[in-house]
This record gives sequence, C-alpha cells and structure tokens, in this order.
Amino acid sequence: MEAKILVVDDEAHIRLLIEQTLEELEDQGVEIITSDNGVDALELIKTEKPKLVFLDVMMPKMNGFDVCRTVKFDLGMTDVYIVMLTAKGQEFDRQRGNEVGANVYMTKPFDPDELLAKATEVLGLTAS
Amino acid sequence: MNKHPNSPSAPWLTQFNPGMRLMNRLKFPQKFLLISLLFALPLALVMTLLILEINTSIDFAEKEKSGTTYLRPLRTFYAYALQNQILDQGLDNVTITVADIKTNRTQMDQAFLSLETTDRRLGATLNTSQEFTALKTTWTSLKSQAPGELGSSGEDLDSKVIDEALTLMSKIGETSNLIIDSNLDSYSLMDTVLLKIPADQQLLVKTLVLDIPGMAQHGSTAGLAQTSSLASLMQSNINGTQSGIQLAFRDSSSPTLQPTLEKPLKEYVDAVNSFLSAVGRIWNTPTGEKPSDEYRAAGLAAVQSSFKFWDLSVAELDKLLQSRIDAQVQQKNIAIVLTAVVLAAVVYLWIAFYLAVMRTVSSLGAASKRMVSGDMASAIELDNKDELGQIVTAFNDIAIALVQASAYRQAVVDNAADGILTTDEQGTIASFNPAAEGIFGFKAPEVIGKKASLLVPAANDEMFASFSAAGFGMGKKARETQGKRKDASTFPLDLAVTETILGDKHVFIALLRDITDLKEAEAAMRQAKETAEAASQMKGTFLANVSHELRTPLTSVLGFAKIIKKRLDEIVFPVVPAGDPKVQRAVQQVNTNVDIIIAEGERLTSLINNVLDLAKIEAGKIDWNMQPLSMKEIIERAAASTSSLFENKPFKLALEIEDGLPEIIGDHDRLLQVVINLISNSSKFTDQGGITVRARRDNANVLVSVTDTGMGIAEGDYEKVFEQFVQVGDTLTNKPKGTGLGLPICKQIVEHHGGKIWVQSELGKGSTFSFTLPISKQALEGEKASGEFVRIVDVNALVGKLKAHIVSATQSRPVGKKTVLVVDDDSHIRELLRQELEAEGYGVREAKDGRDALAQVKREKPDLIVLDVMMPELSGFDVAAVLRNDPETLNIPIVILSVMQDKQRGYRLGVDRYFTKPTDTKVLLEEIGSLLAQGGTRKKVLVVDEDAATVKTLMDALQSQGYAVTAAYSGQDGIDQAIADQPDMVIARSALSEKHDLVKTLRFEKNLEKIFFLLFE
Repeated sequence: MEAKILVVDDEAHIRLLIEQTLEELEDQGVEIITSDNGVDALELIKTEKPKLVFLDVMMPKMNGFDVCRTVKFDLGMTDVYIVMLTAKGQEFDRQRGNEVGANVYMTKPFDPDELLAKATEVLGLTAS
Repeated sequence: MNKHPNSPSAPWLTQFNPGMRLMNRLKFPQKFLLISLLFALPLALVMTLLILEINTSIDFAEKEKSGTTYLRPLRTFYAYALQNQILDQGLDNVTITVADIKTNRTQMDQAFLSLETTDRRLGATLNTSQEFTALKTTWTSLKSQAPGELGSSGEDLDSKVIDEALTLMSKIGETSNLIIDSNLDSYSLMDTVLLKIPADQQLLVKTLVLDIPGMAQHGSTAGLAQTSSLASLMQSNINGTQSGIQLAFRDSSSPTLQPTLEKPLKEYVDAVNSFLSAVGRIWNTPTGEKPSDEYRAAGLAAVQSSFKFWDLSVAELDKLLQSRIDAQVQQKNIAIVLTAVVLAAVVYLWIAFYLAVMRTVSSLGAASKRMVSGDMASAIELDNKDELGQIVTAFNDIAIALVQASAYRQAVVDNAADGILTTDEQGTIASFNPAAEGIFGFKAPEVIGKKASLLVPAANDEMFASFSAAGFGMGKKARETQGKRKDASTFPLDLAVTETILGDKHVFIALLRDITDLKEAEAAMRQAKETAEAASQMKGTFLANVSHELRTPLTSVLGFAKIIKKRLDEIVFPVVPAGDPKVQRAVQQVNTNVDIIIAEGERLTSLINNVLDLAKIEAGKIDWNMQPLSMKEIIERAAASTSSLFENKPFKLALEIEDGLPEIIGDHDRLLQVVINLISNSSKFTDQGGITVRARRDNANVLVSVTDTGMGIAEGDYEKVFEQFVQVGDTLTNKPKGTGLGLPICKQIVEHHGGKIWVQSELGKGSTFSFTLPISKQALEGEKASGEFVRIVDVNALVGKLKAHIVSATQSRPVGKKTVLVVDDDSHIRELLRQELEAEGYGVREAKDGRDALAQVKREKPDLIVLDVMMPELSGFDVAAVLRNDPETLNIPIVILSVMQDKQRGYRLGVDRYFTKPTDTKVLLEEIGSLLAQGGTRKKVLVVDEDAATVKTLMDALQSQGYAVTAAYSGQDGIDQAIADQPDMVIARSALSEKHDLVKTLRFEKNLEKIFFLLFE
C-alpha cells in the first residue's frame, strides 16, 4: 500500500517531531513527505495525492485555511483527510476550520501519541 | 363639584326652570321686549278703561248740554205760545187787536224756525223726531188759522201747542240725560228749568185766561174751586222749585250759582205769591162789588219773572255742565300725561338697563377677544355693583389666573434650553421661542407665518401634517435631521414633534436641539473608541502571536520529550544492561527527569492557555455565544468531565440540583469551564470528606455552589483568591497546584454574565465557592405569564415563546410507526440516532447529505426530519429552506442537530427545533416525540390589533416561520374569530385586550381554556 502522509509546517522542529512520531508507520509502507509552506504543500497534494495531511495554520506565503479550502472545494479533493494544527483552539479558528472543510482540528502542543493514533485510524492501519 | 348653576337647589325654585330655559334662549333685547310688553299691556288697558270712562262721562255731560242748547229756542217758542194763548183768549180790560196776534204769531214762527234749525242739528242725538213732528204739525195747523178766529178746534190748538212743547221738553229731558243726572245741583236746576217753571207758567197762563173777577162776582162755586186748585198747584210747584234750588245751592260747588240765582228766585217766588194774593183778594171781595183787575198785571209780572229766572237757571246749568266737562277733560289729560310719563320712564329705565347689561357683556366679549388675541394684560374696569359686576370680578380673576399661567408657560417656553416652535397643519410657523432664535439666527417675526421647511429643509410643507407617515419623529422620540440657519449654513438637528388638538385645529409642537456639539463629542468618542479598539485589536494580535510563538517551541519541547520517553521506554531501556547499579540509577534518573520535563511542559501549556484566556476576556476578544441554557445540563457535564479527578479519592462528587431550575442566558462552554474549574480546584485541596455541587433558584438568579471539606481559606484571603497570580496559603509548605489563574478567569466569566462569585470558608473545615447567574428575562416573563400575560416586541423572542408553549403544552406520548429521516454526513452520528430512534419505535431512514435528503423526501415523505447543517453539497439550512418553500413538504417538522450555533437563522427558515451537538439524547427524543404527536400540523395563531400594519408585520413574521396565521382587527372581531378558529395562541395588543377583556373572555370559552396569550404593547 502506497499511502502518503504530508506534513506541512514552517517550523523545522515541528516537522521533525511529526516525522519522528509517524516514523513507525513507514514500516507499514507509508511514505512521509514534508513541506515548509502552503504553496509548495498545495503542489505536493496535487502531484503526490497524500491520503492524510497535517497542516499548520500560520505559515508564510499561504496559510493553512486557504490551502485546505483550495483542496476541499476548488480542487474537489474531498477524500484527502486534513488535520489542522494550530495554536490554542479558539472558537473562531474552529469554526473557520469547519468552513474550509477541515476534517479534524488539533491544538499545539499536541500529544504525539494522539497524532499517531489519528494517522493510524485515517489510513486504516493497525496500531503497533 | 359645584351644583350646576342652571339648576336651583331649593325644590320650589325648580318651578322656574321652564322660565329660565326660555330666558336663557332669548337675547337681551328680546328679554326686555317681552318683559316690557308684559308691563305695558295691563297699564295701557287700565289707562284706556279710565279714559273711556272719563270720555263717557264727558259725553254724558255734552249730551246734557245739547239738551239745554235745544231748550233755549224751545223756551222762546213756548213763551210765544203762552202769549198766543193769552192773546187768543183775550183778557178783560185789555184791548187785543188782530195785529197784536199776528205780530205774536210772526214772532212765534221765527222762534219755531230757530227751534227747527236747532232740531235739525240736535234732533237725531236727542231722538226728538216724533215729538217735534207732532209740535210742527200742530203749529202748522195753528199758523194757518186766522188770528182771533176761533175755529171748531181753535182753542184746542193753542193749548195743544203748549202741551206738545211741554212734551218735547220732557222728551229732551229724558234723552239728554238731564233727568238722570246724578249730581244734585245740575239735577235740581234741570228739574226747575225743564219741568217746574214751564208747569208754573202753564198754570199762570191758565189762571190768567180765566175770568176770575166775573166768576167771583157771580159767586161761582165751580170757578172758586178751579181757581183754588190752580192756586194750590202753583203754590206747591213754587215750593218745590224753591226747595230744589236751595238743595242745589247747598250742594253745588259752583261759586256763581247762589249769587246769580238767589235774587231772581226770590223775585219769581214773590211775583207768583203776589199774583196768588191778588187772586185771593178777588175772591174775598164781597159779592156785587167789582173786584180789582190788578191780578192780571201781577200774573203777567209773574210770568215774566219766571222766564227771567228760567233764563238765568239755564245759563247756570250750562255753566255747571261746562265746568264739569272741563274738569273731566282736565282729568283725562292728566291721566294721559301721567300714563305717558310713566311709560316714558319705564322705557327709559329699560333701555338704560339693557345698555348697562350690554356694555358689561360687550366689554367682557371685547376683553376675551383681546385675551384670545394675546393681550393678556388688561382686565376689565367697570363700576357695576350688581350680579354682572360679580361676573366681571370672576372674569378678571380668571384673566389674572390666565395671565399668570400664560406668563408662566411663556417663561418656560422663552427660557427653555431647547428651541420650540409651533405650526399649524400646513407647517406654517405660529410661534418661535428665543432658544430657537439662537439656534437658527432668525428673529421670531422673520419666520412666523413662513413654512417650517425654511428651517428644516428635509421636510416638505406638509411635513408636520404627515409626520407620522414619514416616520418623522412623531411622538416624543426625537429624530435627527438637518437644520438651516439664517446664513444658509446647515447643522445637525434633533427634532421631536408632538401633535396637539386645540378645538378643531391641529397644532404641531416641535422641539429642536442643535446637536452640533453632541455630534462632535460623539465623533470624538467614536475616534477614541476606534483608537481603543485598534489598540485592543493590536493587543489581540499580539496575544495571538505570542501564543503562537510560545506554543511552537513548547510543542517541540513537549513533543520531543514525549518521544524521548517513548523511545527510552520502548527501545533504549530494554537494551540497557541490568546489574550495573550506576547505569540503573542513571536510567531511573533519566526516566524521572523526562517525566518532569513533560509535566512542567504541560503545566506551562496550561498556564499559557489561562493567560491567554484572561487576556482575551479583558480585551473583549472573546466571542460570547450567549443562548438559553440549562444550568443542570452544564453541571452534569462538568461532573462527567471531572470524574477522573475522583478516581483516586475515597468519595465521589455529589450533585444537588433543584427541580425546575429556570433557564439562564449564557455561553455554554465558558460556564462549563467555570464549573469544571471550581470542581477541580476543590478536588486539589480535598482528600477526605466530600465535594458537593448545588444549584437552586435564588430570586431572579440561579445560585450554583461547590462545597468541599478541604483545608479552607482564611477570611482575609476571600478576595485574594480571585486575584491573578495569587495563591493563598504558605507557598513554601503547600506546593501550589495549578496556575493561580483559574479563579480569576471564573470571576471574569461570571461577571460577564451579570453574576457574582464569592467564597465562604472556615480554615480546616472547608470552603464553599458560589456564583449566581441571572435567570433569562424570557424565562422570567414566561413564568409571570403562566399562560396569561407576556409582553414582547421582539419577533424572535415571540417565536421562542411559541416554541416553549408547544413543548410544555404537549406531553410526549407513544406514537405509531412514524418515519424519521436522519440527515448527517457523519455515519457514526447517523448510526447513533438510528439506534436511539428505533429503540423508541420509529422507522428510520438515512441520508448522507442535503441532496440525498431532498431526493428521499421527494420519494417518500417522512414524518420528521433530523437535519445536520454542515454537510457537503447542500447545507442543512438550504435543505430546510427548500422544504419550507414547497407546499408538499411545508408541514414536515424539522429538527436541526448541528455544531453550528445559529438558531436565529434556523428559526427564520422555519425549523421546529434547534439542537447543538453534542446534545442530550433524552431531550432530543422528547422533542421529536412531541413534534410527531402534533401530527405535523402547523400551529394556528390569531393576531389581534387595530393597526393593520402591525398585524401584517406579525403575520408575515409568523407565516415565514411556519405558523398558520389569521388576523382580527378589533377586540370583538378577535373574540369571534378565536371562538370560530380555535387557535393555539392569540397575539394581541395589550391595550386592546384590556379594553375588551380578551383574555378573560376567551379563557371561559369551551376548548379555549388552555389557549396561549402573547400581549404586546
């Protein structure tokens, strides 16, 4: 199975954290790709068609909401499961996330285990 | 209250009421005319009668006078007639020639002609025709007889003329009233003149023509007897005359009567007596001796003196009558003059009275006119001392009072800070106060009579007449518009117009205020607010950035720490060789240290969250999602969320929640945060005893308290616990747990809801943290109404009420196999709802999005739809809108179940219920049950108001929300329609309802006992 997970965050540490968290899924054939801005992320989603995207909100060039809306509505790629990652969950952000079609919303700092569990569930894998 | 002045208090005075009504209807000239007539008529009648009587009396005397007038020629004729008899008979010792007789006849004829002339004049009056004709006939016969010749009846004619003259005389006496004169003097004279003297004369002549000496010589007994008889007749006659005249003398008021008549009477009486003595002497002469003839001369002398006396008597009688006539004419004149004077005086006084009244009335009228035209200063000055004077005094009192009141009002208007102007219906300015002058720069005379649009250009000429139609601040509420000054500059103006009806005129009173300063102040305030908002915005942005910037490294720290721990646990530690105590200790330390890093990282996260919360609340950056809430539900949820805190404690959290707790308005998540905070706070300090959460009603609030048996707080620290970054107690011995920001956040949240939060405690025994939240106005009003009165203006609130009523009025009860369509894109939720609904006995169908839902409804109508809002393809709101606009599906109850908090939008679209996820399934099922029990029929609402516009607004609003609405435009109409239609609810204007007792009336109607009323103002 050639499932791909895209991790989008402008902070290299966060990308590394998520990569390390998801590392064990690579054993089950999952490929993890990363991007440090919204524009590149959008390109990668179009070309690589990841099943799951962890998407930061505050990023240079293009923010996470816009990326998500473009994917879900403009590109019609409703099958892509998008997890929004952002600062503390304000109602405003949560609602905006709903509006742009995000599937799940996770606040920083997130628990690596929760993140791994979500990815495992979305990709239909078995937890190790 | 005084009695009505027109109705007198004394009972007997009420009899005057008709008269008073009459008098009140008449004008003063008419009143006076009427009263004058009533006075003048009897006076005139009396005077007329008096004058008539005087006239009659005068006529009477005049007629008597005409009698004496007639008598004069008759007396002349009678004298000649007597002479004629003497001549015809002849006398002894007297030579009588035919010529003498002829001369006498001629004189007699002249006297008769004179008499005839008189008769023509007075005969008709005295009614003498018969007697005169007889005399005339006899006289004509006698005249034709030759003198001295004694025809067959010659002697008879002589006597007959005398007799008939006497008859005529007595006739005149009768017809001329002479013999019925009631005055003794005139009567006696008349008697003398008319009857006694002529009779005497006749007797004298009869005696004279007898041949007494001859008879005496012969000693004729018959002659003596005849003579004696005549003498005694004469004697008695003369005695009668004498006594009558004496009586007249005594009785008469005439000064001339006695002096004139006394001497001739004596002469006459003496002459007759001499004659009678002479006659007596003849008879005493011895027989054979030649008796003297001297008696003849005495007889003639007596006749002459009788005529002399007669003439004088007639003259006196005339005089008497004339003086009597004169006296009566004078009397009559006096009466007429007196009457005229009295009438003139009466008329004069009446006119003066009328003028006096009219002067008072007209000066009152003039004064009132002056006052109406604005000249209030001059009172009336009149010197009346009568009742009208009292009226004038009263009028003056009123005038003074009015002057004062007017001056007072004028002072108010003149000194008002606001401009005041009044206009008529056409908007023509009638008055303009000094403040208005100041505002507009016009002087009052410059604008009075001009149109108000000169000052308020936005208004057309009819603005004042059509204020309400134009929504132009009619009523006391001011409207902002533009004013125009004299120099054509414009300025913002507050304008409030009220309408007053004076008589049949509409007057508009406009209150004007130059709000330039206010506007500037507002602008400055707005500026300040914008600045503040900008600052606040910056603060918010700053906070968001700080939050982000803090979180990002924290995420790495925490995340990597956790990964490290995981890697250590899973990979490193298992391969660490056991046995070396140093290594073992290092492993142990690393393990503990990583745990500390994770724990402190989590504490730091929590701290950041709280700081952010507090900052956001203070900066007003939180979007409060206020809605009706059940405190019970919040507490139960908080209890569930905090259950893990009690896992290692020897007690469980206890809940004591009062039944029937009313709803409050608040933000669900924030209030949940407060309760959780308090519970977790208590749990931190309580290891023994227990923690209880209580909720009860406290007046217009809901009181929630969390009581623990922890270590307690000193009284002096009660306030401090709610301060930021302050933790009470000894921080060295009692390790702080938490950030110290939990209670300040609670305080902020509760205060934002209009509530209070406080603590009561006893050291070592425990604490009670309490807070109040005001019960929602709607809930309060709903209670007050308890099915009777609810005052509302807001349509949404109204709909909320309707919904509440339907829920409370309908008990959920078992239903038949009804079908519910569940629409949600989340299969888990669909599955959950399916299980719950099927357990209740409903048939369930599912749709995974809006499009699918519409297709399914078209295929087969469900009995109810449970609808999510956020779905791909077509949102729940769109689905609801489509269904509500299709008559086919209009009646299907729709229950929205969504994370979206937009109840307003939902109800506007006409959905029946709105639930937010996550929701209490039990409540949801109850609602579904009650909706299905209603059979999907729409609720019938009757709107009652006289104002058609309001009715329409309400009808539109209600219809758009799915109610079946009927309207009534009057109270009675409303009652009739309610009885006919049997609505579920009546919405009426409260004033109208009160007037017609709508609520009470309908409550007693069958089937309407449970009707629900909403009253608005």
